[in-house]
Amino acid sequence: MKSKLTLRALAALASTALVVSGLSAGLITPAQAATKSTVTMLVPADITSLNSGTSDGNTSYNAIVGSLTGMGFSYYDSDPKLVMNTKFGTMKIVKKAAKDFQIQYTVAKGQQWSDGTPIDAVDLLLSHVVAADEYSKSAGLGDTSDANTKPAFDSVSYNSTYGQNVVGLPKLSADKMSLTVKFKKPLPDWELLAPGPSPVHTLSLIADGKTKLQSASVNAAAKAKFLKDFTSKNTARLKKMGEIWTKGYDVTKVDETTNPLLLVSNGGFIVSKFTAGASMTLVRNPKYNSGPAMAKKNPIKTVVLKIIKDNTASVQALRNGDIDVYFNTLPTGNDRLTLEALPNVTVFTKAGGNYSHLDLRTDAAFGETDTYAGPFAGNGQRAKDLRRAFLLATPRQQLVDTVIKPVNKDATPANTWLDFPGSTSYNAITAGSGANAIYNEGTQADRTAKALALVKKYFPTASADNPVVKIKFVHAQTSVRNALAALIKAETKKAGFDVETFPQADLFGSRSNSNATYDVLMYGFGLGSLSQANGASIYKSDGSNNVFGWNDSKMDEIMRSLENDVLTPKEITAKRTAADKIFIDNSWGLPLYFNPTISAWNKDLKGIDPAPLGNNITWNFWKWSY
Amino acid sequence: MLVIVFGASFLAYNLQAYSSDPLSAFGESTAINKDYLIAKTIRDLQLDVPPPIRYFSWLRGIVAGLWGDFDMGLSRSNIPVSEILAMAIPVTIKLVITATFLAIVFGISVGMITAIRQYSRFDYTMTFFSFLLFSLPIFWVAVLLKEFMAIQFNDFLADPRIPPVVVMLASLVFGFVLAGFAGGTRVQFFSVLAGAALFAGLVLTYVSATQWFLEPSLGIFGVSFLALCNAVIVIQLITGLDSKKGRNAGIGTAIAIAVLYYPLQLVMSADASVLNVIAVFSITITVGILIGIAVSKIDRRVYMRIGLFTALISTFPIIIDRFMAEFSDYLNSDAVNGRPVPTLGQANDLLTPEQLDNFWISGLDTALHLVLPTIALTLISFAGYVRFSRGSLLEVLNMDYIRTARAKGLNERTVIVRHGMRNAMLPLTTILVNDFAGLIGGAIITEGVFAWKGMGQVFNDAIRNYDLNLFMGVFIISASLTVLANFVADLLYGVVDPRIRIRK
Repeated sequence: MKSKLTLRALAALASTALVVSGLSAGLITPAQAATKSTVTMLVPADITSLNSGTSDGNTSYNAIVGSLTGMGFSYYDSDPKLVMNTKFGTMKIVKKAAKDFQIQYTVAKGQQWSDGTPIDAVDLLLSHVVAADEYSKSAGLGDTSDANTKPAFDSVSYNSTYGQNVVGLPKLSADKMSLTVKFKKPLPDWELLAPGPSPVHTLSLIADGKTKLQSASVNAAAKAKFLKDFTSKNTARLKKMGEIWTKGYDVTKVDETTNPLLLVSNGGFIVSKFTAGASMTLVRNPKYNSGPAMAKKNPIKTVVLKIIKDNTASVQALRNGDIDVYFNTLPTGNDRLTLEALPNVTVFTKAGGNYSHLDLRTDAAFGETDTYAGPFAGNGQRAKDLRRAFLLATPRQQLVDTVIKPVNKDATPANTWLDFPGSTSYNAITAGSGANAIYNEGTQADRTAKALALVKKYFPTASADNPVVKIKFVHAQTSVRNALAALIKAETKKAGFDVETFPQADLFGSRSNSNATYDVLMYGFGLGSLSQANGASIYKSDGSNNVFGWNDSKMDEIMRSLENDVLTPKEITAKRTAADKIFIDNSWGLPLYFNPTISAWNKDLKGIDPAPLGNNITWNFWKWSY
Repeated sequence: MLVIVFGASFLAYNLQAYSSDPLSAFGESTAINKDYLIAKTIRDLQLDVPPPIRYFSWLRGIVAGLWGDFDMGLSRSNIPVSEILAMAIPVTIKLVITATFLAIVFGISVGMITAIRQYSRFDYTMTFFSFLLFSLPIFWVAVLLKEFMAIQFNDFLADPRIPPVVVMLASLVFGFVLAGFAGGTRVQFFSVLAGAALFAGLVLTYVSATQWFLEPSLGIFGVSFLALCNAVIVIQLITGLDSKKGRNAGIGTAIAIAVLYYPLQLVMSADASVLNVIAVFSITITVGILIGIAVSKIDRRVYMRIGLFTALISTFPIIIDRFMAEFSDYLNSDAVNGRPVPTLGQANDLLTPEQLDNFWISGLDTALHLVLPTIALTLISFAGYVRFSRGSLLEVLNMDYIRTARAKGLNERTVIVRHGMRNAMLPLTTILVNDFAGLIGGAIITEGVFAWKGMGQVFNDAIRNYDLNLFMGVFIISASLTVLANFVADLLYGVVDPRIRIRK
């Protein structure tokens, strides 16, 4: 009885609830927020330093901060193309002789650091200190050719093109707005060597123990002091500044107790708050005038860089509005589907600067003593034919369809890695090298049949059921790589290859004993810049990344020219075509595809234009608006 | 103890040093000055010194702590390891302390109730759920929680009306849980079920109809009701509900809490700080104790305890109510933009300085960021405590002295609370202490999915970046704490169990 009663009571209650909730519908409307002026952006790894020029701070994530807080002579746009930032300054060749190559960098007038100090060419001198090996040695800051001494400015830029070619001290013009740098010989990538500006007066002030922003006259005096120290090579002072430059910017937090001199910048934003491992907040720099003007309508006033290492977590954060901008340089098809299902989000995919490729071994790596005697060894016709057969039987379209198409519908196999797909020079190179004709003509079945015919020349009994050519295939142990390897194994078997795969957890670690034993290596490289010398480290017979024994004197000659001669774009394309032709003719290897990147952002946010080079999202912060 | 830490750290150092290769990152480098960078890395990390010898240079920094020159070395990002750990430890503690506390309280209470109601519906249900939760991977729980409790809940807030079907279902579930809890005959079961479901249904309908979620508050009625419920539980546990003085102390305190509700609002002003919260607790607790003294002449300590616990626990609703008062402003601020429950992070980075200065708003912000990870961690570790305390209490209840206690006519409440639960706590002590030590070691996965940089993530980064000094920093702290916890557990045994007390 009792329970029946209560059931009735329940039913009555439920119907009351129904009526009441129906009545209260639409009584209150949610508040409308004002137009947003903040962007919260994902950073998938720790930010460890405000200075990305030191060896510890040199990560692409610290460089994101750098791109928001600093502007220099040039930047990469989304094409990618190197754009000259004339708002900041200009550069030109003033002398071009075989042994005397001079470039003049002129800083545009009327710019200020965020503390109000005018920007001039003195601010470019620190770049010389941290890149010129000769300066470091002669100023008593440490001999950078000796691996055991740590230079006072512990920079990543030593022993590089600038340092090896610069002659003497850069010369300041009378008005201190121009700097002329002299090099030993004409340099092809001189535009990429432009010195970046640094607020040298703050370094000088911190070295003097200052912990607060100073007045204009004190700042000017500090800058003059730096110039004096620089020209007179004042070892003690420079060492002190080097210590600050190397360690002082490696912070775990930024708040009101942080020395504001560390935060002075000339970019669109200034760091205002930072908690290591969690987030960094940057606010608009009111004195910003070193780059394109900020958007007129609803520009961004605050940028938050939120550190989230877990990909699923960042997608959910985007959905919940915890972040406004998401990007992923190693996306899967699943990521795209998830992102496209989110309401109020713009999804964007594009080929990034990283590419995957197959490299076939021909000999011992340069300088290594181990021998290689696998099926691809040497440059004889037999080795060349077998290499060609293996590459022909690699089902590149299928690989792209399987792992790349789900992310980027427009993806195609890459035919060269010397240029970005889509550019005119890319098409010229791939047509001229023969890559397009050889590896894209006909169906995969045709190509595999051709491959089998080549193999049969040397192994008459070879067939899909009798794969006789044993191949050791090394790749990284990741799900994508494993899938690719399985597809390659299946297709090349039809051409008579018996592929044994060796997935490596740590592909380049000292414990991976892959060096002496593999025939084929599959991995990725990044095109980090538009340098003319791209590819040299892998194509040259003594290149640091050529661990395959590739050796061709004509190739070395072309690469030497690309590394050393100042060439026109046309000449560069011609040389690259020639280089790729040697590469294809020898069947040393084959690019597979450019890895796609995926970005997604709050639909209301305008102006985001991801770029494959440099800082792919933040490069055009001035165009952002709501 | 020192020998154990020394040996363990030596092993860990060498294992990690031999198994990682900081130079492998250069394999794909196309830098022009690659050779220089490799040489630099070897120099900076002393890779040319064999690990067993390198260990002692690391150890020297630790031992130097004896004369105040403590040095854990630099991480690979050039930051002192001690500084990184000093930042990570509070984060971890903040993240796990509430969860662990909740898991212990709920786990042990549910476990003991299942033991008392062995083989009941409630027991079977809780056993099922604890095994289910036990086997769930936390990253998946986190994904679900984020989807339903953050994303969907925030969407729901745009129009916070609960559909009647949901109201009914939720009420029924609540009814079943409470009825299972109470047990008894079938009629009793269904009447509790109906009562609880009716109550839940009314509350939910009220919440939905008044759009309570947009401007939540407990109000004086909610606070008084919770204080009363809480008083009943405290009385039942300490003296039993049939003690008149016990009832007077508990219910008197609950009434005092209700009376104090408005005066206490003055203490919790907008420019309050932690001190004000402490003041509120001191006031209510003092009142509770005084009431305990007032209602009794003998055995005052017992009634003081009732007053104290009732006041202590009942103050939480008052504080929560105060936080709720700020919710509406928080919700509609630019920084929050109508979506109050975040899926990750430790704090909202966009709060204005005024908001940050407001103790209630910044506290609310922290609490909202803690909600999901706390639930996730509680759900996962809750199960272990349920199983453990259930088993432990069952074992105790089968002891001879329990039969003796029943035989001499003690009522069931006294048997279970005084003789059963107390003894059942003994084996739990070891687990509790070790769990607390393990907490500082961090929750790698939870911290990862909720983007909290605590000890677990520091440890994870250390391994990924081949950062040996950082790795050892985390290791030495975890190792020392584990060893210390075992020591503390041994001491605690003596305190809890008179039989083990060290003999003089």
